Amino acid sequence: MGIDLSTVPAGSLIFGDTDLIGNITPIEPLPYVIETEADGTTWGDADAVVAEIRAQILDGEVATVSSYENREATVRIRITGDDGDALAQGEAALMAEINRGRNTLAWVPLLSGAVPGVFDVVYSVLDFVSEEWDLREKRRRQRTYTLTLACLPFPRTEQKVLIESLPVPSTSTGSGVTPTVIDSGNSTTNWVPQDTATAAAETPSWAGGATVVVLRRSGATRLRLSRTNLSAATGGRQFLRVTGWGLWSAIGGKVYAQAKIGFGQGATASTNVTPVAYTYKASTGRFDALLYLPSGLSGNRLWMIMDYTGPHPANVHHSALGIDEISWVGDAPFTSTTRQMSRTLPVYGSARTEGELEIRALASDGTTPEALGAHTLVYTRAAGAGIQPPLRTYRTNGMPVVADSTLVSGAREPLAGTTATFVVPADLVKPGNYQIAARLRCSDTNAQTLTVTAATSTTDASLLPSNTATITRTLNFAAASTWQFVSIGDLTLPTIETGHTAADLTLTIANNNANVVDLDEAWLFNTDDGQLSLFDTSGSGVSMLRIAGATLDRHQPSAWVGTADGAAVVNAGPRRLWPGSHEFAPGEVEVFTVTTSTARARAALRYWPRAHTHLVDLEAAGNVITWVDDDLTAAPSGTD
Amino acid sequence: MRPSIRLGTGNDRVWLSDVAGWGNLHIQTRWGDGGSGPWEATWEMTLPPLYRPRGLTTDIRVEIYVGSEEVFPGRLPDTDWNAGEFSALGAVREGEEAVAINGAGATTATPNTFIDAGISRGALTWVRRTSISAVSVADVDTTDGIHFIQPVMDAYADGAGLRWGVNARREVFASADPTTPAWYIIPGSGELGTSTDRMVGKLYGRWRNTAGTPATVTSGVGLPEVPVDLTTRGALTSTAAQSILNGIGSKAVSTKNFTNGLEVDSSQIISPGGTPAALHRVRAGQMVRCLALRDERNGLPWTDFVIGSTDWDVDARTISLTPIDAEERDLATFVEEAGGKLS
Repeated sequence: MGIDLSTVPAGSLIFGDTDLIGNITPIEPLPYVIETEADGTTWGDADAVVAEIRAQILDGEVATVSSYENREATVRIRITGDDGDALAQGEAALMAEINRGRNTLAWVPLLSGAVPGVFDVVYSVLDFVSEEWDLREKRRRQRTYTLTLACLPFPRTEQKVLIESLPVPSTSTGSGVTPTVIDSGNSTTNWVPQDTATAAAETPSWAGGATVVVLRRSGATRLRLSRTNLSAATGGRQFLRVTGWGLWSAIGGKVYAQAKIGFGQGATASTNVTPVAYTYKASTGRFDALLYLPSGLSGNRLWMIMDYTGPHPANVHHSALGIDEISWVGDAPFTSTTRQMSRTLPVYGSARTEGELEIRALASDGTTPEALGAHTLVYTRAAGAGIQPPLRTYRTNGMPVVADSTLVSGAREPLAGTTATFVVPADLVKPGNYQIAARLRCSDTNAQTLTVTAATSTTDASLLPSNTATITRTLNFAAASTWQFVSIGDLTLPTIETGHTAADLTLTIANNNANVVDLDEAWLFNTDDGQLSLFDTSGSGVSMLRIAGATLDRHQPSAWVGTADGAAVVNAGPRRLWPGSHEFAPGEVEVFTVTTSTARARAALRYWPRAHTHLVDLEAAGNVITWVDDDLTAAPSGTD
Repeated sequence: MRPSIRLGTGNDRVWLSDVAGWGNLHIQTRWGDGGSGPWEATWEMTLPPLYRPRGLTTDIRVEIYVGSEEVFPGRLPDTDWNAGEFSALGAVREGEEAVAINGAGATTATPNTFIDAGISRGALTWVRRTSISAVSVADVDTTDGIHFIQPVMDAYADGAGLRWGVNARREVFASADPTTPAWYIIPGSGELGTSTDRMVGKLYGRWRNTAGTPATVTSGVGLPEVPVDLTTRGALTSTAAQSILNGIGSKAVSTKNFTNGLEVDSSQIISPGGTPAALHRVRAGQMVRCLALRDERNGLPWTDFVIGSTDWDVDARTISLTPIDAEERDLATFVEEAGGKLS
């Protein structure tokens, strides 16, 4: 629209380019004035479409809101003019806006501090109000109309928001590749136990061997330990790696591995450090964490905070946290390369919105576009919804692993005699439908039959009936010795629901012919919660992939490929191999991508924040916002 | 995840969403006579008059995906443009329009041969991963008659006590009805109507061998006793006669006398482990167990049935399940299908 909403006063209502309140000075004087009467003006309601879910509850109904219908806004308009022709011209100005079909209705609320909101008008209708029309026209030189606008249910901001993920930590410079061990767990010097102020303290002990241990007998669900006087990083090393284990026991002696280890730095434990990579194996209680600290460790003090993550805190009896080793390392993740990454991006606003998700790759200089790779996989869902897709991190058995830094997971193994086995804590596997996909290579194009099994087990085997689910998939690889993505099949997981018992889900992947198929990485994608897409992004010039949701202008989702600097963008067309329809609900959305070549893929979200009827001032809330215009083919803004 | 429809092959493939808007998708699968597997998919598109979107040409290949999984392989025959309704036929339906001949063009009743020949000349888009049968199907006239593949495969499946079909990955198969449930239906999800008629207890089949000597085979136990004339099938061997009678018996002997099906949503159909089913994975040919629905036939506190057909209404998120052979309850129909007649 032509009017810049940031310049209009509070209490303005603008339909397309037409001021409906009369408080904006027009560029050229008009023979009429259009005003809005508050009595008779309403924004309408966004009616919920409720889908009933058949349930067995005794009273009441179970239902869910599946979507919202358009709202019908009504504006009572009064046109005042010097003569009959002026009034007709005012009516013609309104008709001109209506004839545009799709339009916008911008409202700047009356109270100061409110931000303009824009309703997307799908269509509009004008009705002449015939009540006392002769008196109004003769005595007051006015005609009154009712303007009815069918709008999308939720208004939006004038411009779109662009959210970009942080750049991938670059690997260190210089010789800092080999780890520098700064605590090998063989002494209790500089280890400080739980703060004495809060609860009974336990002194860390060293039972021999290479682990420093702290044990609490008080039944508390949090255990803290800190190490002071750690040596600073040298040689450009930016990552701090901490390995150890954490376990709980219940009254009666059963030991459970249900813990999450958090980290802090500085004088108090309140300065959190979020690991860039963290794994905790439910089968052993071992954890492995990587912290990104390019500026070093504040105060040279590292805190380790262990929290109980099971559902029965009242049963906790003893707790034990052991640290094996702390070291400075130069390179990023140890169970994968950064070709597969998960990032969380905020979706501002209070209502669901359509948006565009862009994956682009830039070289280490931050400006040169870099090829994405032969394939790009994108999986999105609401943040915190469950297990991360990659399975190699849960691998417990298989053929000897060969390190290969050109692959997605950084390693490969043949599918042969010792079956590739992955053990996942069943707590992490939210019940639902999962698709198993893998990146595989076959040495020939003959038919291969892949078999995936899934079974749930607990510490007490007598509880469970046999519950193994199996998928078999027979296929011919399109080309020999070429890595490709394979969709193996769907599984309903977990195979049996487990309550509070610590249970594991064991997955195996095997091929009928030994030593013919190699496995790079396998993934578990929950398709009830998330959306999955796979694209062919082959071509040295393909450095950007954009996935757009359906909009009023383009009624179906679309996908585009192009260059990361936006110089060329074309419709993805047949490059879309697995189609997903990505949604962005308010809160945070987790974007997981796999790119087969670049290890520096970045994700960006571009959307209009939407609200129920009134928008929050995002910048006043403390967010740093990048505003962009709505242009599907425009270059993404900002470089590193 | 919502299904997506893809049209075409190779580099001409296009997602229907890129061509025009569509909705009201129904996907039907079947298990039983006539072929099993994804059967038909229908959807609607509102198009301007005389607008023929590129990509929607006659006989174009149609594939429907949910995420990375293919759930419906098929093609689009002639369409009713004015009504805006589109109906794609599942790959198994190609058997209704391809003839059973070998590579040299001669008639044959050997499944492996005519399937491979059909694939090779492009009449079938199927893939044959395992052997169906390398033996000519009994009693198919290959001298005077030239048949479509579908009835010959039906005859093979009846004789072998199996069901034939083409699955979502276009793989042709022949397998028996399952005996363990893949899904449970929670109590209170509906009633299955059963007929109080008990069609047959013990069948007595009269047949003739190549010398014209008549003999009798039996199948089943109990009352009522029903005689069946198999001499209309011509000369048979005792093995063939027994097999045909067993085939009739397995359909008619009071194991499949349901008269209606159920409509459920994903909260009512769960895996044995307790997780709600994703509806695209519920297909004809799977067995479901209706919990707490007493089975009048055997007194068990649940009822198992093999799904004969499904209709998944994608927008409504419900699926209709009909037990196998629920419509064909007539003994005379079963006997006639097997080539005999009731005495």
